[in-house]
Amino acid sequence: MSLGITLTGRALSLFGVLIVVLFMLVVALGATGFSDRILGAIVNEEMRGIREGLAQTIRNPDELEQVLNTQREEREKLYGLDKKWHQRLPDMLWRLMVLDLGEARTLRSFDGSPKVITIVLERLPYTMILITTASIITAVAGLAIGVKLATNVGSKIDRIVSYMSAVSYALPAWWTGILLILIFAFQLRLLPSGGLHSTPPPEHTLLRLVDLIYHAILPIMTLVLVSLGAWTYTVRTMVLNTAQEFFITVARAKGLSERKVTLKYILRVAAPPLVTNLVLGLAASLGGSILTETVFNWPGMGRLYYDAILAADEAVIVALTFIFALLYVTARFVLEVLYLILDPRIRYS
Amino acid sequence: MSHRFRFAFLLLFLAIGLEVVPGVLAQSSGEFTPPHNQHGPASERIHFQSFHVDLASQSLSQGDMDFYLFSLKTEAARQLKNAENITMYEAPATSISLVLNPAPAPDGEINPFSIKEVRQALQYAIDRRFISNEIYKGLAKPMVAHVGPFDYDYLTVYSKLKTHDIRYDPEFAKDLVQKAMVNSGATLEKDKWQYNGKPIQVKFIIRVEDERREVGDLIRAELDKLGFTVVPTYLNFAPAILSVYGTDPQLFQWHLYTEGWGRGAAERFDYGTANSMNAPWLGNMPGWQEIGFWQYENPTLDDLGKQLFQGNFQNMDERNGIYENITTLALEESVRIWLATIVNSLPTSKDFLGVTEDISAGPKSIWTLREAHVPGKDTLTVGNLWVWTERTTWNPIGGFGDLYSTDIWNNLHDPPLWRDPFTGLPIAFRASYEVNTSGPGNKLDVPSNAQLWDAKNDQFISVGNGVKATSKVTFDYSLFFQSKWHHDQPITMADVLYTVGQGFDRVLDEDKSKVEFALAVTSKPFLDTVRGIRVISPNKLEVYVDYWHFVDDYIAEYANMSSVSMPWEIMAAMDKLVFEDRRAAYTDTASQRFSVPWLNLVMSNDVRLLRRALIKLRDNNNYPKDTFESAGVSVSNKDAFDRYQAALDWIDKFDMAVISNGPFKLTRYDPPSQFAEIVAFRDQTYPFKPGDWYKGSPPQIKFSTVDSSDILIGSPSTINIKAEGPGVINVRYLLMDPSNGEILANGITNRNDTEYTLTIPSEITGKMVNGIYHLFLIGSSDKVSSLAERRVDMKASSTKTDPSKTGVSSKSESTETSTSSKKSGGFSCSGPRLIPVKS
Repeated sequence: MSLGITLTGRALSLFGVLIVVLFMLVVALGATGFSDRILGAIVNEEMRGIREGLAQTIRNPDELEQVLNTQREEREKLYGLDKKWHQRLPDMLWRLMVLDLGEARTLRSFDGSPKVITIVLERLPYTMILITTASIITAVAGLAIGVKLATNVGSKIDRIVSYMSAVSYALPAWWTGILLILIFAFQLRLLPSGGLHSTPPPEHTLLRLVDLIYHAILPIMTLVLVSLGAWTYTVRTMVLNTAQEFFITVARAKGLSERKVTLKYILRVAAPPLVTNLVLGLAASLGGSILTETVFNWPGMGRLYYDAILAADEAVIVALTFIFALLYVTARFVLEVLYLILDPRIRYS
Repeated sequence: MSHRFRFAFLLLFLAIGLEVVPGVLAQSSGEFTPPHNQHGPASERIHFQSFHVDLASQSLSQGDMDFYLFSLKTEAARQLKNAENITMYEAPATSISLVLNPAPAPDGEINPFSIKEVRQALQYAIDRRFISNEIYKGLAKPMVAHVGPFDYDYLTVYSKLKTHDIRYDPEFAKDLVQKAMVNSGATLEKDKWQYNGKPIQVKFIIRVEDERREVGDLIRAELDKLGFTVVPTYLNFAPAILSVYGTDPQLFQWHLYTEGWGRGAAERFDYGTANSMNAPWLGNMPGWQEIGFWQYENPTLDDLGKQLFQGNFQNMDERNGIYENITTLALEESVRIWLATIVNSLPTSKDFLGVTEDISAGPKSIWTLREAHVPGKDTLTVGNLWVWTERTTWNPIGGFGDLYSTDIWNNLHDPPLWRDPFTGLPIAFRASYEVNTSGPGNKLDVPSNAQLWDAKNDQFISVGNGVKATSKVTFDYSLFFQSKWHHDQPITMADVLYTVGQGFDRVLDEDKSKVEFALAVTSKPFLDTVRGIRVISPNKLEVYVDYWHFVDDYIAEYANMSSVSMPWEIMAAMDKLVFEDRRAAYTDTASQRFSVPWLNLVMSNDVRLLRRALIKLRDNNNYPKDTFESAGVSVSNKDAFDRYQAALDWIDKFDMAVISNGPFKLTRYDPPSQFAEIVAFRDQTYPFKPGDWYKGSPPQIKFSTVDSSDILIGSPSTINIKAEGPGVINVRYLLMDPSNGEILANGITNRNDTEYTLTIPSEITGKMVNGIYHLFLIGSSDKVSSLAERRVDMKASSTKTDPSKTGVSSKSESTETSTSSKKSGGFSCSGPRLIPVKS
């Protein structure tokens, strides 16, 4: 079987995963009645507010009731409750398949657009600046430190960093964020406590970008701090395991330089699991981080997903799930290809 | 949306008394010195910025902001309260209650809360004092009914509440439950109630976002003691409302739920809350008037509620009687058990001056930021939870999508009328008014040249002869018309008339009403009560309505047909976009239906649409000339051109279309940065200057002395009282035997200036026995909705005693309640309306 056919098969199976994920989402939202009930509850809540407002001017109970019924019908149409779930949710799915993300019911972009694609494209750069940058820094630093530790196993630095890794892994991101805010924003007054921009925000584009980066430092520090430990320890363990393989001993016995052994023999073999972590981590980073984004008042993808769930905005929930699933299967496919390049032992048959 | 909370035990009040609040006012009206004498607001510029609530107190302490418009969490407020550089303002802005599911259980099972006596027992099983003093650390006050000590109508129901003698008495509660459950066939096995051999379980949904979690745990423990097997479910907002408001009560997804309520604007004479919180017809009682759900029903409460709602009473006494009956009946039903009014804590920096404290919203009102200033600073930073949300929409017709935007908007426009921050009554703000009424029983003649709207020809036409109306309100817009809009165009009667005509047209024009259906059906019932309007002078407009209230100001508020918040050309351009071009919508529902944007005047995309509409109107010399001329107002082609051009210039400059007439203008709005900037409008024609809006803190009513001797049984006894406070103060009294809760005497004291006397006649003292009696005094004023309450413990004996020998003070033991705010441990108390906002 040729490589092309194999990869096509992989791609198709990953596409199948995408379909299954979306199908399960629709079933979870629709068939369980969850979506109808939460939307119904939201309409009820809104009607309570509308009722109070209308009661200020409509003092005839019968007229009030008529108006409220009309308002309720309008709200139900707004939320799509005039259609059964098996009519409205599959429609959304079909649109997604043709890459039309549709329109949000209640959420809006910064410039007021209900188009999901606009909302997502607006939030994605902010998430990339924060989470993806943090993921890259973590990966690079983790790789460097992990390899260093693996080649100095048992040393004092190895023991210290290993302990620190455990601490880093145990730190909750939200707590660390608040701690860093207290230290760097309120005690030392070096960095802003949150948000995208200073008050007032700069109007010039370049200054605005610089201000944005300035505001990203603290959340990036937080994310790196809480994820570096795990990365470092993972790299250390994988490199160490590989370094103890027989073929590494042979390489060293052949008199190859330690640098060559590390780069060409150890890292290349340890690369697939590390790259898996990296690629999946990067893909996941585009989904944002709800807690960190909330603590730092950062309008990224994580917060968008959270807001969509709170507002029961089905269109956004389904679209974001589609995007995240798509990112995952794409990352998986990229990994399949990378495995072939990185590890000559891997051959599809 | 939203935001719910209240209730308290009456005898608990008696036992605790409410804390005496000294009413220390850092800035009384007399002390306030405006920072300058220029037209417009006190500060030059205000920056609105989002701050996370958990970091707000730190940011404020560090000087990053001057005022936080969102309530701090209880613990943060408590910690910050004594900070040197902070002033904490407190507002009774939320209430908590416990709603019970009274639906009958299926055969073979029992729902204990379907039994009225069990529901009543819960009133005695909850320690509201603990909730207020311990869980809320003193930042709450107990409640027993939908009105509490912060509501003016508390005075209306005062004696009824006292009569009910609600207190924390777990043993009494247990007895009540015991009798009711045994009568229902339940048995008590190992301290747990069982029915048909199974334990009786109650599902208790407890909110987790705030102190309601601890409140829920407290109630859960009491329920456990009463013998119920409690299954607690800890939920946040969305799943909680899904279970409680989204399911049929008879499915028993819940038996109890810890509700929270936001409190709206101060309401001196409530009609909405009493209905909403007690009468099933308004859809806020279990069953929620949802088709297919089991419904809690109470025709008597519905009838009384509707009478109050419709104004079916001839005078205030009759209205108060209805109100008392509703409250009494609701207490007997006990479907909703009120727990406490919670104080919201809004901090400012110590140097932040000019604060007016609304009696319900505290400093968060239309008054404060107009006068707010920090000496030496021309720019203030005001924090809020958000400046922009995904649902934010600035639309003068369809409304605002969130409350954070309203906090900004309130500084950009001057309303014709507003609510007095201390009395809760409607008052003139920038328009003045005069009310003539023949109500409730008679009608006024409407002049034949008064006009209504002709939707076919888009103009006003005469109503003709024989039309009658209950009331007439004459509005004088002089303070508007002497001045300009933010874009430098004069405000005129045309601006008023356009909005009046627009309001009619959205309802009466069939095409328009189909487009903005929700707006049309919503406005129609009100417009049906308008019998005519008439421009009687360049500044005055008469409005004839079929509406009556025993307070004229409410009639004026009802008849106010134009908010005069935006110039007519912006309104006309919006109408064109919505109804002619069909490129936008006023409401979210129409937006969804027609797949067009929900018109948002701060968003570039929508503003571009509006700009194009304005250009077309300008270039085609298209303006509502007939509308204006039919009402006798002349607008020339040049006037119209100038208006359109000025609006376009404004849009080109700011990329927003928010043009209004208030003390500030909106100059920047930056959603990603969660930032907005408003800048002072310093036009020389603007009528107000710093100091004009300043009201300070609500004046307090205070009992300075209550001088009474012991009661000699069988002889008349006189009590002399001295009360101080604003306006005309009335002091009501109520004499109660605490041993059995019997009310022995009840009435109004005799007033002589600031001195009040009441005499307990010998017929009443003759019925007394040796012991202590409670005399409750409650002071009220026409100038403030807050009340003062005092309990005096009086000793009755059959022999005259010498006070110096008995050890009982002749100035009997007393506890006092009053209400104020500011770093005092107390807070404003008034009549805010409870509104069902999400909380």
